Amino acid sequence: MTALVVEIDRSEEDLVCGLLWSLDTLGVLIGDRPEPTDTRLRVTAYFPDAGSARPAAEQLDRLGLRSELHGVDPYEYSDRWRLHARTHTAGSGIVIHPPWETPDADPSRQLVLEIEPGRAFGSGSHPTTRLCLRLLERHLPSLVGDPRVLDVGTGTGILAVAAARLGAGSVVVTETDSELRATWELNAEQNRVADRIGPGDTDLSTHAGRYDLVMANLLLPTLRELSDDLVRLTTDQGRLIVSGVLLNQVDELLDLLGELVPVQILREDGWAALCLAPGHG
Amino acid sequence: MAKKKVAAVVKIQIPAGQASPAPPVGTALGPHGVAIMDFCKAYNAQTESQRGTIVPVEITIFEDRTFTFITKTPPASILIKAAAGLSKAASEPGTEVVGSITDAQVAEIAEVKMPDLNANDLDAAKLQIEGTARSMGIEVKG
Repeated sequence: MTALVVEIDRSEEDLVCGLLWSLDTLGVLIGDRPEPTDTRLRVTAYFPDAGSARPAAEQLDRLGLRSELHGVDPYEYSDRWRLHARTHTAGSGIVIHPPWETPDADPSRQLVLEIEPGRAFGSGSHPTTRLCLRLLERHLPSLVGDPRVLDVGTGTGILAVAAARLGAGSVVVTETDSELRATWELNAEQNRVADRIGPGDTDLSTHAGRYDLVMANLLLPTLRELSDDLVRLTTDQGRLIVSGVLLNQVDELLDLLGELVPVQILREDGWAALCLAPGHG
Repeated sequence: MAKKKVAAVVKIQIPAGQASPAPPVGTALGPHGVAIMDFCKAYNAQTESQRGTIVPVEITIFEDRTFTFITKTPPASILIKAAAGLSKAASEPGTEVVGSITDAQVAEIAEVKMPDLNANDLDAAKLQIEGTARSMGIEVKG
């Protein structure tokens, strides 16, 4: 990845950014902490490589703006935040901590999960993760036998690991980003449930079998695409836990999942998580 | 409740619904210890209905590494180009005219941009939009 850095006058921001977008930048970072009195701004635009950045540099040059190009590691900073990952709690019963923190928890009373965040979603810091964990803790034990669980878009594997620790017989996970497999596998091992967690077909339309509990903490556009499959994959006596939606998106989600009825809805900080069951159940 | 101390304010422009940990998001948030994936989830959820446009965002990062953000209107030059039906602006702005927009389109863009412009009223906002259009080599026709 290549960064194009150019210093401009504040009044030129809109024009320069528009030009960078017309020359296919991937994204633009403006200043670092512009003070209101500054008249100069530092603009950094990112391109896939030097070849794709050069036309933008030439175009800026014609406007009398000299820019510099330099290579960047796209993951340098995205990994750095991990150092600040910390312990979180979901309700009173679940504690999630990164491997480098020792939580103040009582394993005899609480479910303690060690989660390596990697580059994946699901460190326990986001409200939707915590809401799903609370729904899981509440509803998984009510399912009979050794419940079969499906975790769609597992990320760090946090929900899959929690389900296995809470008594699921087996957990199938799907993840479209294959680079995250090492992360969820590591978390399954660290929490001693690797024998009950395994990968499944990521294409839900061809995904075979049905599950006593299906979990999907995604975003509304993806839930729109997958809603029919999520319903189909949930057994007649099963439960579906969905999240990743804002409070104002709950009604649309309920419409999408019309065949199921909400059993419980939790809300935190503008987000919602729902547990649903087949209407006749 | 005590007010949280601001550690940094960062401004980035990314396509709606498509935030990822790669730059500029990672570059902007990583050094401040913000959970990048949490921002991506929040930004993508909030901008999903605007997919296909560029939605700038101003992120306030607090000393406890939590954050809030507000989304802004797309850059005027992107709206102007779309209104003129162009994929590129002039390569020699000032000497080359590459397209035109109508006065009504200027008003429409000015209304969209109004919350983010330093303009007292719509007429002042329109003047700013016209200036940006001219500097891109795009004429305004009544």
